[in-house]
Amino acid sequence: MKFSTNPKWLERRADQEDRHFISVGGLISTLDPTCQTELPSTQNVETTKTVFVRLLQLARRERRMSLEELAEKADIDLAVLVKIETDEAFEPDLRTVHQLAAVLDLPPKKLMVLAGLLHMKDAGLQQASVRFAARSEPIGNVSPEEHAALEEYVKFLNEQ
Amino acid sequence: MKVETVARSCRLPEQQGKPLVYIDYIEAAPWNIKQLMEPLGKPQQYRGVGSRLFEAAVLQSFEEDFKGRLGLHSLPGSEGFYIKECGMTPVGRDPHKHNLLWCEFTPEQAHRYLAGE
Repeated sequence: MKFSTNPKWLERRADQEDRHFISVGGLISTLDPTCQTELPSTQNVETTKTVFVRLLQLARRERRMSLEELAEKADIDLAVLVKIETDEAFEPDLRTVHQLAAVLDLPPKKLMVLAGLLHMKDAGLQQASVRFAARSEPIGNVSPEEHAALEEYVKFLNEQ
Repeated sequence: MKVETVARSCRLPEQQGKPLVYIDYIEAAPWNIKQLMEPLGKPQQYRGVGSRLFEAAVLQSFEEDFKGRLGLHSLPGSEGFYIKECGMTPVGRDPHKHNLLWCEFTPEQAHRYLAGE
């Protein structure tokens, strides 16, 4: 297999690709502009960020993973993970959220919404998120009630 | 990217039934897509990733002796890329695949793509 090494060809193809979505199937199809997603409004970001952090913490603890283990499995910097779990104002990048979703088996698009990177017009998600935040605590062992709240919320995220 | 070389064949009348490389799945990571990163005020990490993958599928078609014949079901947001930029022929909507548009490369189109025409 011999790929083109012509820099002009590569530049032209990259320019073309920059003007379009190129996906056939896969995660990005869910982020396609024809889908109902848009940039986040500041109004809902604070709520979803709280839920984002709480969800990550519970999902990690549910799997009995330390921060170091999660950082290693997700191939992200430990300092970034600590920042995510301790500083709600910190804005993770798309790759980090994508990696965390894969390791913690969470729907990536919803996690991006919760991280404040995308907005989805979805009152149901907002209500379920607030309910989840109210029923869970960020520290300590996962209680049966938290386990139930986590299961219910993840099920809701996957069903949508 | 995921391709199939057995399950599907050409639908264009002039090459109906001939073997092709079918692109079942192709995408670049979100952080390599300008349209996703630009609104976030961040640069894309790498450019042209999807085009390199697409090129690999075309080259595989030649290696399999399919002469560059290639097919895929384009998502609505990607039709412009495959038809206008890559030069694929839109054959028609496929009711068996979410009514997505089936696009196909003939050998001549594949050669033109690799030549950068």
